Amino acid sequence: MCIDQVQPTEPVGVGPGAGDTPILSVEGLMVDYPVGRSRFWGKQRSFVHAVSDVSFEIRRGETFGLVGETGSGKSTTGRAILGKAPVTGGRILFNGRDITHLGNRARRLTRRAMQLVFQDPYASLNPRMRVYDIVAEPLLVHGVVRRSQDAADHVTELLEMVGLPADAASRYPHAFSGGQRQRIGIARALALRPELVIADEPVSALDVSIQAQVVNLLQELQERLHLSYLFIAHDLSVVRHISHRVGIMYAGKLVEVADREAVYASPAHPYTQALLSAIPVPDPPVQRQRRRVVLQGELPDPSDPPSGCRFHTRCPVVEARCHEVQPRAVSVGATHWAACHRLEESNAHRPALPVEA
Amino acid sequence: MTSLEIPTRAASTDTVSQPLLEIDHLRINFILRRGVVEAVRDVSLQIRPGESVALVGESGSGKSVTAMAAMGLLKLPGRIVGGDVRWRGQTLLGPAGRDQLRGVRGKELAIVFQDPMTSLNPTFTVGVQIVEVLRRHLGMSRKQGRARAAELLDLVGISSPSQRLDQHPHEFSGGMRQRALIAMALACEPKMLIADEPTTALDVTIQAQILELIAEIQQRLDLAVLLITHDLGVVAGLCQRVAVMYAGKIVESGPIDEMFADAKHPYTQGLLASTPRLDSVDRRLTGIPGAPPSMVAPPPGCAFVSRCAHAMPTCSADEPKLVESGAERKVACWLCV
Repeated sequence: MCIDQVQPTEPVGVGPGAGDTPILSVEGLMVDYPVGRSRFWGKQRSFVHAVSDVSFEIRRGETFGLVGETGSGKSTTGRAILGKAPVTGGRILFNGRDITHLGNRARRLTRRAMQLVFQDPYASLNPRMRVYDIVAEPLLVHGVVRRSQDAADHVTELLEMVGLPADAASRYPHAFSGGQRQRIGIARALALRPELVIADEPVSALDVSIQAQVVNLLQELQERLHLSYLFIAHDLSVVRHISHRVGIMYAGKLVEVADREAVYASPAHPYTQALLSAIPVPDPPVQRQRRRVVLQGELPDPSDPPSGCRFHTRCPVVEARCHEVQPRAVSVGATHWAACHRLEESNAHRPALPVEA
Repeated sequence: MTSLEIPTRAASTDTVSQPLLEIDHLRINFILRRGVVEAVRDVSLQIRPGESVALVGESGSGKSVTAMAAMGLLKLPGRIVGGDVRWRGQTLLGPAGRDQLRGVRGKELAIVFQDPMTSLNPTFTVGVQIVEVLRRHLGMSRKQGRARAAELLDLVGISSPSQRLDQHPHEFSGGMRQRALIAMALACEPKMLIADEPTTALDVTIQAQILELIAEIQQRLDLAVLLITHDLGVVAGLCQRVAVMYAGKIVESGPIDEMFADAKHPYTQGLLASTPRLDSVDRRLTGIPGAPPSMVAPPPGCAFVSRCAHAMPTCSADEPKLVESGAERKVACWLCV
């Protein structure tokens, strides 16, 4: 019944480093949320185009960081992978198998191998359940153990794994700090030995000294259990510390994908460059000297995204064609692509706006 | 940014020696059913005219409560149990400070809160809310107020200000609301601005805009700024001095460059090591083990002792005092005595 037994098919998508089947590949994903009133007979609904034509792959044992601001569609992408968003186009392949439109029963089997860590450790744990029951619940639901009592060994091991004392099991969530709660959430996510963990802003709600603990824990667990992560975050500096590859989203589109170092050393897309330069560096002399690209204007309305390149309303190097034509993904390195018209002619004149170290 | 109608204030040379805002051995308790939370324990801070100071700390460190108390906005069960807050030497606390506070707050001393979504009244237009401040404090007429409000929106970089005045807050985005709040705070040409986590609720590209705006306004208007934040990166670009709070106390303070280059308190060091840096290649984050202590009956010695790598027997027995350690620097740590 385990998902591992599903034989991987041919590697899909000629992604960089193709050879081993990616654990997850997302191909041309579209997600549209209906908004507004649908009239009794009519279908006069408008849609929020939350995710539009997003493609990426996650390889085994890899952390893929998905970065974007509010409304970029990064969380929606995560939800779509888990089957919790209305996918209107494209495919999602997990271990080579199409899981885009699975029914509930089949979906449940994939869920074992694919777990979620939530953002808010205060809201995501039931305050009336003991930690033991919180961690053991997925085991019960998926029939790994028959009765809650049988899960004791599992729970002890899981709590040890995330660095919580054994006596934590008998306590309630309110007795724990934010960082410890996030550890409980991670233990619960790992209960079923997933292959892929989708972490949606797992450290954004935590204080900075605690953030580092949780990021380090996630890294340790990855090495120990050979996990793959989809790490969704708005904070590029945290993503730099955990990810192997990084994808940048803007207004529902993936604008750039590259290895971690390439994103930070030679960002190709003007949005990535602006985003990097907007992040303050905690070093006063460096911060004062950095040249910042301060973007004008606001994030676009996802129900009415700009025509052509979605970044053209704020882009500092906008050209006439950007208003009309959608840029296609241009390869700017072995494992590095970006969707910008300026990159189409030659790869020579990038980066357009150098972001100094 | 477009032209600035507010006259640039000449640097007030006569008052340089005297601090604008002086927080003097402030103590604040929250009296709860489960006990007395000692939220602020003996905090002293001075802000001089035109100076920009950061008060840095994590959640529960008491940084926001300190600012709220300074503005006379502390709500029950919070209570000031000791110390004083003075504006140009005159107390703002108690019955004696009530009139003084009324004259100062919102006029000379303004505040911008963290959450731009909830700091504006959703039932009134933005214009009405700004004009109200101008009428209340400067006695302007509606017409004068409206003209001035449009100038202010223009000053904070909101385009087509006269149309924007007639819009309600929900028609503004998060960044625009924060701009409108800054405009409101600047309405009476204050001498000092307290900014309580002004960019925490905003996206990073919008944060950059707001920080740039605050820096620019600070320079043009010779404004003193007290920036309250948890983000050391935000501090680095904006402030001259920084004070780090932990468990209700200032554990270290000093000029910003020296503090960041050579932090003396183990908590400051830990905080800097925990902050992920965009410009560093593959540095493993250090983090600080453990969590802050309970502020109900805080430990007798140093509050950081349970998380400190350099803890000594003295640390859990006696509390280190905040003492001078080099020019303009203060540290509360037994290592530095």
